[in-house]
Parts: sequence; C-alpha cells; structure tokens
Amino acid sequence: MGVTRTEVKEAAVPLKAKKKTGFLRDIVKNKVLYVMMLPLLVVLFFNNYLPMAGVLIAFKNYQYHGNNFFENFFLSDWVGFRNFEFFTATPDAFTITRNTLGYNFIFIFLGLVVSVFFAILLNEIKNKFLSKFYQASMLLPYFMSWIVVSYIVFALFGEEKGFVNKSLLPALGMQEVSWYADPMKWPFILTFVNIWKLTGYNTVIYIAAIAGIDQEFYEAAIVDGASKWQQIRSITIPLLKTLMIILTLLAVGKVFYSDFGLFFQVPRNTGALYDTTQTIDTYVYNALRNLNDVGMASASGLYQSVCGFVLVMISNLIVRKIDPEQALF
Amino acid sequence: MQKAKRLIGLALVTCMAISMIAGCGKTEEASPSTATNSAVDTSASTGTETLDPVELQWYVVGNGQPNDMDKVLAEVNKYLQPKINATLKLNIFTWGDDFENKMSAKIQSGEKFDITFTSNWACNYQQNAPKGAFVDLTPLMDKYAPKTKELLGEKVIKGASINGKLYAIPTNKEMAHNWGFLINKDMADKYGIDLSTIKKFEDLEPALKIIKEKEGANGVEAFQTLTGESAYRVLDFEKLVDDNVPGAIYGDGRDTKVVNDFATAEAMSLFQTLNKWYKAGYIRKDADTITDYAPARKAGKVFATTASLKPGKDAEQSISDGVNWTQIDITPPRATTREMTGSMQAISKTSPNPERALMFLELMNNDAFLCNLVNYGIEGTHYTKVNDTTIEQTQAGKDNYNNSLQWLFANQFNTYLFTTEDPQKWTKFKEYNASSVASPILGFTFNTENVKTQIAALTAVKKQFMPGLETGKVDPATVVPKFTAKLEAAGLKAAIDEMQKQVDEFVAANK
Repeated sequence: MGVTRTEVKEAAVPLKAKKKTGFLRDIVKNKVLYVMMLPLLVVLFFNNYLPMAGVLIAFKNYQYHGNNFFENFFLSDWVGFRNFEFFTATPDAFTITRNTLGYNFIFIFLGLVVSVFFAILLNEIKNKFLSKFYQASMLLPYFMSWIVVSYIVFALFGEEKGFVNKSLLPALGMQEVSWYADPMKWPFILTFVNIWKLTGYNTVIYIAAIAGIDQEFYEAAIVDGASKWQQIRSITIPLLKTLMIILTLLAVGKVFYSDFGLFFQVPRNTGALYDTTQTIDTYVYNALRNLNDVGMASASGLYQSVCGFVLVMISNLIVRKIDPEQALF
Repeated sequence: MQKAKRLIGLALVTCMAISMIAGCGKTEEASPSTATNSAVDTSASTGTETLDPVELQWYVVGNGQPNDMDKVLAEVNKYLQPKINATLKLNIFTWGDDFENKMSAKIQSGEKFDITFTSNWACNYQQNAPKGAFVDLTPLMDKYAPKTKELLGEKVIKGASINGKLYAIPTNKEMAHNWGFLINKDMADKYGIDLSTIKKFEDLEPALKIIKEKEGANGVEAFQTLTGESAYRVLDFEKLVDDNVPGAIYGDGRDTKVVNDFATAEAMSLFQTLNKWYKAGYIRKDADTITDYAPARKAGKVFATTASLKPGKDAEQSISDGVNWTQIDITPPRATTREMTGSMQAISKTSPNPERALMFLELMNNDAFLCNLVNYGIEGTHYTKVNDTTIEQTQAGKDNYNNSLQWLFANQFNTYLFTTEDPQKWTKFKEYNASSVASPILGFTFNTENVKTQIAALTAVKKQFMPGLETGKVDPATVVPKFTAKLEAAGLKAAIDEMQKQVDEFVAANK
C-alpha cells in the first residue's frame, strides 16, 4: 500500500526533486534485492571494516599490560613510524622489493597470456569429452596445497634423492646440479610452478567468458570468409578485453603481496636461495617470527595494503584515461 | 512501508544476534563444567569451603594430545578437587610452529587461560614477560607456593627472574647443561668403533669414515647436522637473545665481553671441519633444506649427532626414539640462564584465578602422586610398578599416553624411572647440578626494546647464511666474510653495543 502511494507522489514531482530522492526510491523499488544483500553487508562490516581500526597498532608499541585486547591497545605507547624501520634497516631492502614486484609482474603478464591462450584452445576443441578432461586436469593443481607442491618440487630437484638429479640428468649424460644452492635457477622454477598451479583456475574464468560470446558474431564472420585466426583476433580477444582488464587491475592491487606458500614452502626457506626467493612476506616472517612483535607485524601489513591501494588507484586512472568504458570505477 | 519497517527490524535483530554470537565466543571457558559442580558436595574437607570451583586451562608443548588425555584428566580432577577445588584442562600442542603460533595468538589477543609453558626457546619467556603477558609471582610465592620456593632455591629463582621479578616457575630438573654427541650404539658396536677415544669434536672423524664406507649405501647419515639443529651449538656460546641473533659471551665464562659469535675463530674452525665432512659425504647433501631431525633418527638412519646433554640423556632419548643411543660429553657442565629458563610454567595475566593456578603448581611440584599421574597416566592402565621408584610402560601407555615430558611437568626429581634408566639418575642429577660452574651473567635477560629493528634485520641475515655454514655445505673462507659484512650492514654494531651496555650494567649491579 505505502509503496504505491510513494510512487504516485514521486511521479508527480518535477525532475530535479526526483533526482534527489533517487537513492531512497531505488531502495524502496528494489527492496527485496537490498534485503538479500544485507547479510553480506553485515559480514563485510564486521569482517572487513570494523577491524580496520586495528591499523593503528602499526603505530604503537603493543604490550600486554591490560586484561584484554582493547585495554592492551589503549595502554600501549604511540611510537610513530618506528615499527616501519625494519624494512629499511635490512641491507636486502632492494632485493626484497625487486623480487616481490618482479615476480608479481611476471606472474600477471604470463598468467594472462597463458590462461587466455589455453582458454581459446580448449574452446576450439570440438570433442566435448576431451575438452572437459583437459580442463579438469589443468584445474587439479589449483586444489593442491603449497606444502604438497613443495614436496613435489623437492622430489624433482632434491639433491639426495631427486628425480632430476638421480634419473633424468644421468640418462642424458649430464652432471648433477645443486638445485637448492643456486639462486639463479629459482626464478624459472618458481614462475613455472606458479603458472602450472594457477593457470587452470584462470582458464576456467576465461572459458566462461568465451562461452558468453554471442555465436552470431562467429557465424557472420564465417559467412564473410574469416579464418579461425581472424575470428580469434577480431572477435574473441576484443570481447575478452574487459575481463582481462578487470582481472589485471585486481592483480595489480596485490603486487606488494607475495604468495607465502610459493616463496616460503616451495624453496623450503633455503637461505642460499634468498637472493631470488625472498619477498616482503617471507622477509617479514623470517625477521619477526622470533620477535613476537605485534606492532611491527601490523606495520608490514599496513605498508603492503597502502602500496597496493595506491597502485590500484593509479592503474585504474591510467585505464580510464585510455578508455573510460573499461575502467573499474 | 510497513513491510519495509518490518524487514529493517528483522535486519537489526539479525545484526544483534550476530554480534552476540561473536561476543560469546570469548566467555565460554568461564562457565564451570557440570563435573565441577557435582564435586563441590563431595569435597567438604577442611580448607576448601572458601574456594569456589574453578577450571584451570594449562597449555604445554609436546607430541600433541595423547588419546587417553580425558581418562587421565578425570583421575587428576578426582584427586585435585578435594585439595584445591579445581579441575584441570591440560592441552598439549605439537612441537614448533603449532605451539608457538597458538600461544602467541592467545597472548596477543588477550584470551583467557591460566597456565602456559614458557621458556627461552618456545613461547619466549624473555619477550613475553617484560611485555606484561605473565603474572609477577614474586609477591605470591610466600603465601601460595612456599614449598616450591624452597625446593628451587635462591640460585634458580635468581636465574629465572627478570630484573628481580619472577614471572614463571622453573621445572625442578637438571640446572646445568653440557654439549656432546649422541651415538648410535648398535652401529658403533657392529663395526667395533672405540668410543672412549673421542674427547673433542674432531675426534669423531675416523668413526664417521668407517660408517660412511660401510653404511653409506644404506642411506645412513654418518653425522646429522641440520638447520637450527646443528653442530654449531657444541661451541657452547652463551647467547644473549636467541640462536638467531649474533651476540654472545664465551660459554666458559672467561669474561663478559659480548662478541659476534658467528665470526669468532672457534666458529670458523668448526665451519671448516663441517665443510670437510660435508665434502667427504658424512653429512647429507640437502642438510640445509631439512629442519626436522626426528624421522631419520627414529628410523635408525643416523649414526652421530650433537645434543644438549645431562646425566641419563642417552637413556631418555633411547626411549623416545626407539634407538639405542649412547652419549659422549664434550663440554663441561655449565649453569646458565638458559637452563633456569629452559622449561617453566607461567601464569597468564588473563587468568581469572592466578592464586589457584599457583596453588596447583605448588601441588604439582610437591605431590609426587599428582606429578606422576600427569606424566605417566594411570597405574595399572598405562604403566605397572616394578618397585617404589621404577615403572614399566604398558602397551596402552606407549600407544595412548606417552608424553615424555618429565622435564616439563613441575618436579622431575619426583617422577618414576623406567627400568631401562639408571636407578641412580636423580642422585647423579644432583651431583651434576652441584658440579656445574655458574655463568658470570646468571639471571641476565636482554631487553630487546631499543634495538628490535636491528634484531629483526639480523635474524633475517642469519637465516640466509647460517644454514649453509652449520651444515658444512658452503666454504666458510668465502661465506663468513660475506655473512659478517651483511650483518654489519643490518646493524650489528648497534645491537652488540646495546648488549654490552646491558651486560655491563647487570654485572655492576650484581657485584
């Protein structure tokens, strides 16, 4: 009843005033949808926004003088940026940042190219059974934990009993290699492992997007005599562009994070490999693991989040400059 | 509109319900269990009327929760309630990160619990106590734990105190340490190796050569030295922070000068020996990528390794590993802060009943029945008595209640011995304690507050270079200078200077 009355009233008011009440009106109009959204908003608020006050811990010397977390928090002293100093105190600051950013950009680029490549290939396979089979087997590594992957890599490259050293290289008449002692081999191993593990998952997303492309485009192209390659280049890839940009922008926001499992578990935290395997996350773990300092740990988290946030804003800005339609926001 | 209002109301109710659920999570342990309530009536004996029933949460490190924990706790509680009207909830977490991460999460978030295991190597005492995680027991000892105070004695209490305040009760056990080898006795006998000739570290080499030749093909590690669990510790430096941070005084107590122990001549010579052994194949090739020492030892695939020793260590280790070990002492016994703080129980700041927790610890330390019950389980089920002081574990005991934590639970001198152990063990312990030389900085605790930035950076550098050196994988002649240079870039001087300053102040104050 009430709804109808409001609608009638609003329909009568001039355009300017109508715009003012647009949001409220929208809520009333789509109230069922908003109510459905509510539980998620509540979770988002409690899970993601409420704990944000915790970032202030990064600027405190957190001690346990109170009886609970909040008392502890209020009784601890402010220390300004002292908790952030351990980033710059290490002689490895450059190496760590280079590794974190370098690996992430390689992963973003290769991840995109390889996933789209496989998505298009799988889509072109006419035998549905085989197509699904390949897809499932590519997805399998995604569900393995990094610990399992770490042992697979160790079984391959281990120096004592590794498959490569004990079976593969001797069969090829080559010398054994000390894989866990030479940092220069690890950029390749880590990149390969990461692509191997994540491609299946990303491919599924792109396959779904390709499935959503209207078949009429392809039919029209075939009528015009376009080859398979021309169809891919002129229809599939342009129509996937929006999704590629969204996924890449989201990934750019995480370039200051590194997959702890990949960089810590897979090289087994081997000191000799730190030059090419240590990233911000593993450094923070190694440096603070024994110190139990909440303030410093929070500082590292805050630093990564702020850098990631700034990067997303910048890259979104760039995208908007080039093509406003493709920007995230 | 009516509908919308109702929906908003519903949403608000949902919100409140969720926040209530979230709020309730923390208070669950406050409600007394039904078992506690029923026991109040039966425990009308003298002295307990004034005590309310409480449940004590106790967290320790070990092999994880044994299968029969609930059965044993039921017995413990039957015994405990008439005495202090408390029930015990003992939780054993597994070694390493499991215990470490759970305890730091509990402490940092201010979760309510009563007692935790703490030490210089797990749930770090020296870092948590000054930050205020534990109750200061100094004023409570006379009233609630006078017998324990007397039992431990002044030297131990001093060694376990931080700035004169005792925040945890050390386990009454051996209060000194020395370093040496554990040798697989069956293997040594098989090849007729004369162990009596081994007096210092390098003397082990001929034996390793024999084992490598005879057993190398069977996958036996002649000498086990892994990241963290390495032969480096045989140098017995008295570390001021922990194993990861450079800065120590010489373990023989010659002076109180703080040095970067990783760059000393002794360290260099040890690294060279290890490098020689590594090249000869006595040490497994991937030693620097392995941290778990137990599987190879238990499988009987290790001939020799370094270990922290005490009288009867070989027998204790043989029971826990199922391998016939024999020990060779290399360094003389020394009493340092390390032993005094090597195994202790602290009462959490968040404990609702710190006095009762201390009364419980007093009982654990002085009541042999209770101590043995927690250690070995129920007589007749988990073990059988051979005589008054000696027991034999039953199969049920081995499978379902095998903690091997005698050095952790309160008073080791009150615990039963296994038939495989020396009946004179406790006498030898006392002699060992008496024969040890006390460190010149006994009771010193380094306060990391001023140099924690440097300590974080130094720790990361140590983890980069030390695994290669302590397993002999890299050539010390080229790596040690690089290591030192990088430590210096990470603030070594500032850290060492601060250590020296605090040590000097401590020495001056204790003259």
